[in-house]
Amino acid sequence: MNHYRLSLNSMRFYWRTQAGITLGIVVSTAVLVGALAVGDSVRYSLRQMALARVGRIQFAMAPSGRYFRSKLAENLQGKLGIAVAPILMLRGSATGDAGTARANNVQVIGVDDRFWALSPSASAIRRDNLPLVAVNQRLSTQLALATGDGMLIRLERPSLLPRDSSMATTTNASTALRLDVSAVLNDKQFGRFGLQSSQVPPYSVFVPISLLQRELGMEGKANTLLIGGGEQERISAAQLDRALQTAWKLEDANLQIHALPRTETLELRTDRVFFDPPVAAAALQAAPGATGILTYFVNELRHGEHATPYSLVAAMGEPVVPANLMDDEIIINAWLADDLKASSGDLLDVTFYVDASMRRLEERVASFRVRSVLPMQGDALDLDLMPDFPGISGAVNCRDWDPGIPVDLNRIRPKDEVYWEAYRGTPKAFINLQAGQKLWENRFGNLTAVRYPGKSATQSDAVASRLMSSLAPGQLGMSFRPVRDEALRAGEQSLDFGQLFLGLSFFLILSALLLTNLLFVFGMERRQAEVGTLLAVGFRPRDVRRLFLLEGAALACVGGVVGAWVGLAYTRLMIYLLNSFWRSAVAEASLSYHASAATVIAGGCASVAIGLLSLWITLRKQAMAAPRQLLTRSLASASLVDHTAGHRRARWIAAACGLLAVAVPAFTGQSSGHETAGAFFGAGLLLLVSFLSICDSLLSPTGGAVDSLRVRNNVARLTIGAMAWRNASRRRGRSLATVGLLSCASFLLISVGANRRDPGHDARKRSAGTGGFALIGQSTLPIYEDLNSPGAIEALGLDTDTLQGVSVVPGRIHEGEDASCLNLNRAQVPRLIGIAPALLGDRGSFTFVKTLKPEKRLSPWALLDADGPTNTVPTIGDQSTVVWGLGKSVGDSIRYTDERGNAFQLQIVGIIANSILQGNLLISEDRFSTCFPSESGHRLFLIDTPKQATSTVSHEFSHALEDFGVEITPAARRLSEFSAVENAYLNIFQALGGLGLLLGSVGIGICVMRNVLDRRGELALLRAVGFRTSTICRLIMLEHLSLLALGVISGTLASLIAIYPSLRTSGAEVPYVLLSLTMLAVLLNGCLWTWGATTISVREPMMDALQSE
Amino acid sequence: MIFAVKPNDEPTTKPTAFLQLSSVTKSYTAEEPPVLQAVTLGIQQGESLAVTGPSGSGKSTLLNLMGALDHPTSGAVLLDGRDLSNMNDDELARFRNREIGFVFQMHHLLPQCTVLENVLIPTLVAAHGKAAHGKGSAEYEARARQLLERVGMTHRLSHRPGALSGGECQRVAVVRALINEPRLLLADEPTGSLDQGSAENLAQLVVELNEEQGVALVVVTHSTELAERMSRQLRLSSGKLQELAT
Repeated sequence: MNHYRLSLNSMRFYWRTQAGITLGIVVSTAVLVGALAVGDSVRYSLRQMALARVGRIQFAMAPSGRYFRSKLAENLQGKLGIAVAPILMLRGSATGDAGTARANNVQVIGVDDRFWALSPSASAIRRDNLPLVAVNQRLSTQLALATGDGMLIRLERPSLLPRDSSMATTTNASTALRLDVSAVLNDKQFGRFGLQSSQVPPYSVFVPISLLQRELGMEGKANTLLIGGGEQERISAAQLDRALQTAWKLEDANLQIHALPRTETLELRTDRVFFDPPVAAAALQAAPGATGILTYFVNELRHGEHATPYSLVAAMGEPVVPANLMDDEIIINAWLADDLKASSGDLLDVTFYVDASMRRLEERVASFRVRSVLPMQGDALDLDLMPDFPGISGAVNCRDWDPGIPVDLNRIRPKDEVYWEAYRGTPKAFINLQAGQKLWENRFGNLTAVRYPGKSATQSDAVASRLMSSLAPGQLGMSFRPVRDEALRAGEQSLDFGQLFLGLSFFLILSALLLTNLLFVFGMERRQAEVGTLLAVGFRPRDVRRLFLLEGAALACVGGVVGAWVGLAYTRLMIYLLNSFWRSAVAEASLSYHASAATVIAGGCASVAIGLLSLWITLRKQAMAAPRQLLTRSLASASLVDHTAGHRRARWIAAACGLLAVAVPAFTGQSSGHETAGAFFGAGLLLLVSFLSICDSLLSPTGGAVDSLRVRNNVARLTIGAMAWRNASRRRGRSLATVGLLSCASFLLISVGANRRDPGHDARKRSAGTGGFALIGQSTLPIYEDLNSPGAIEALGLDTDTLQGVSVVPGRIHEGEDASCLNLNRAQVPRLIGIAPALLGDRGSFTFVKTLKPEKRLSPWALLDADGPTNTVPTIGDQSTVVWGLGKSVGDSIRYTDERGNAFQLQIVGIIANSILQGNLLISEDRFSTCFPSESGHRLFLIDTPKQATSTVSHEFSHALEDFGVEITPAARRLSEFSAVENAYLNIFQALGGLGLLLGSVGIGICVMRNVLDRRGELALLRAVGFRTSTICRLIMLEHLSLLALGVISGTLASLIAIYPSLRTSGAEVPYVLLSLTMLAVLLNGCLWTWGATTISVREPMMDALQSE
Repeated sequence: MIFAVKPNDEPTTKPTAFLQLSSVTKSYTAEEPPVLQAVTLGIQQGESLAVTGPSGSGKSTLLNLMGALDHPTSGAVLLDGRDLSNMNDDELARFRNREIGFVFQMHHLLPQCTVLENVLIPTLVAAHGKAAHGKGSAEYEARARQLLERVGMTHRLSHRPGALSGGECQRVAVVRALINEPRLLLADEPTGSLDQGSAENLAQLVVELNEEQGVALVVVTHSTELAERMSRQLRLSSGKLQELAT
């Protein structure tokens, strides 16, 4: 005989109870393991998607708005001995031949063999089987495309000079390609390829790079480099950057150097017209004697009555401009002097445009005094001073000009044509460089050329070499991103579905544990005498506890092992549900089942540990009783003896919590909506505790309820109801557990269920998540015009009548990862939106949840324009984006890199309530343009329409701006898409909570059964003294139904307080019917169990029950 | 049978008593009179003693105090001169395990264990009693078998309590009480739930074992037959203990 033998005997003998306990542990383990394994599955699926997306790519370099030689890939590959693929990746929209279906935001990717070699299964696409034009499955599905079908692609025509520049032209900004699909690619064939983390593959068209280059006039150019390599060929970003530094050439930085024989100088120019500041700085240091030149297109040169339209003015140094030329002095050529009738000492007004925001031009005038007049020969007659202004430099005559700025061709005189024919864009006037830069410096740069002394090819090479070695590619945004690591990290840091499911399954796990405990307690109660005997024969309480814990451990281990297996099946069920009914919860991702051994073991062990802990707590309480009590079975009656202190404490708790429940909302009356919601939820919880304490007090044998029932007007009155209540107070713990379980369940189900929202409700209010906007639009190609201006409306072919009363708040987009709840991955580089803060601030759009303190009387949106520490850009984000998507809060910063490779901090200055802007971070448009000067035009449009005109306006924008790939969505629908995720979580919680409630109700049933069985002798006695069976049934039913009612009513009342603000909030979509049905089901379930237990107990022969007693 | 009551003849504490109750008073509530009032009693090695009295007179309470299942409100219970109230829980458990054997009105055998296993239950914790008497498990089992043979239960060794009669259960309970060779056997109405025949058999057995094992025996009983078999008889009335003439 030993402890183990004793435990084994006990387990065998009490197998029914032990089976129940084991089953409880099986359920809690299964749910726990299942929840964790769901997390594993989501992580695994995201990892598989990430690997399918990046294939064998380790790094990528995709500078914004820059194009370099495709051959750079070969140079790099030669240096590194690693696979490098150049691609030309552009954004476009696509339509099928039928023209009915459309896909916006399509990746149009020019690729060659080297790209396919980087696909997940490099051998899947053989060279001789290389598709000419391929689409991925998502696009194929969207456009209903099959092999052989035709499609039309419209994509942005690349422009080296950002189209936001006033000098850039926006005509022919896009081009169309008609292509025949020759293959549809699946994930293994790289159909999922993309550089942004998302579980949803992009729409992709793969085109031979040579074809795309030819169509776009970008022969030999690429804009993205992909670096391949398996695990064995790991290379660092620093190695890549170093290799790039030695491999790149002038062309890769869009620079060119050529000799000017006439002036015996070398001139450095850029295809981007203006040098980027880092390039300008490096260029001026590349060789001794370097001089910068800024040539600008001016609208008019005027002297008194005489004016010369549309001319070029150069700001430069010697030899044309003497070093002593003052800032307000100008040198003009003889042709201009003659045209304006001007001479030395005369005043000359120069009128020109400068860039304001949104391509709005501001005309300014600067006055100069003529210093001298240069003859039309020598240094002044320098045709090379004119930069390659798009739309001007290539024109045969002035009337063919098509610059970005408005030009009144009627002002051009025949003599201007003659000048153009003779001297092209030779500047007519010259000022010093500092003066020119003061007037014409813009965000794209302040130099159009740099000249060096020298003329030979050797000198030219030396300048180029020095320039390229002193300029870091990263300064132009040409740096490598570890896309593979980012992709994997995005999946690993994604929303932890394991924890989420643990939270959603909380009530189910709790119910299973409660059930386990309940059975264990009942088992212990049955074995009270055994405990007493053991204590009497010399067992110490801890020996007894150890003995029972040994049993519990064995049961928990069996339950843990079985539960872990069941948990795997449960996981499969959850994955199935997430892939079908709860698809919205995982943003349409297709999940695969995966459970790691570590998770299963950890989940199983955790569950066993939790189970054991709860058993141990129970045991401590049970084995604390004196052996005398245990042996005489007087524990039950002991509970009726003296609880005065507990009763008093319960009353105090009830009163204190009740008062706090009233006080908390009263004190937060003036707070923001979210604080109020929190306060009311807290008040609800306090009220629940108060109600439970009242119940505790009422159930006390010395409590007022029992006494008042017993004695009224000094006359003892015992009714069936009073007896029922007194019975309920006999096992106060059990009764309180019943009430507590039901009230908590009711509270949780109602308060969580009431969070369901209808985003469409009050969507037009500016404080709503729509910001009061009726529509939200996003274009594939940028729109450079201001959609609020009548001129632009007309130019874009929009109907002015339809757009009456319509206003548009435009935004610029810097592509990044979607940080909304629709992206399961943790966004590593969130998408940025540049927006004019005043436009939102003046409207009072959206509701701020939390902000840094704005200046007095200013809208929190003004924080976006506020000055802060250097290298810090204020940003505002949506609550889901900031808190859940990025895991940040107000005051936190996110490291970001601008297009020139400069790191800066995005500081979160405000959080708005869940909105249509979810997934993005907002910064001021001005700062956006500074950080990303190449990101031209607007692609986001928040559209306010008259109420009745919403659909007409939507149709008008969609139709007229079709070529821009504009997709207009009702703002309320966009909000619904986000809410769908939240609502799916609520559905899961309610489903799992319902299961928990079902399990809890089994516990209640067991309680009822136990109560009845404990008293079967008493009940038999009642029958013996003449009680009818129906009366006894009524007695038992009354007792338990009063507990059920107490639980449901107290939980419901407390939850109604908790959700009060939600009920008053617009858009609250409380599922009254569902909740009522749930509560009714809870009550009916309780009734059913009570009735069943009662029926069984009264069926027992009276004499048997009496004798057994 | 009429017993002569010696008025004011309180049982005296003899110097050889190994267990002494000295002015022990026990109250459960402040409002009600004490169940035991200044009870003084000494128990010597090997003697047998019956405590009788009406229901509620405090007989079981007295037994519980002797067996360290309860604490006196005042006064002291001394084992070999050491006050039990100065012992911690572990020492009390050891005391119950090594010095005391309990027989209850209800046998309180573990239904999941066989007869032999039930007898061996107290030996499971004998280790904390310094390996009681230095015995190993085999020796305990041998003693258990021997005792069970003595009480005529050899043929029932592997039976569970559910298969035994009330008398048999009580016999097993007696053996369980004796397994650790206690100095004092406390029996609380041991025959209370038995029929007359079984009660007589059990009474005989207890007396014989008292003599054979040299264990002191205190029996709380309503049964005059059983009480008469004891060497001393005490009566509890209104919380006071009086020795009856035998």
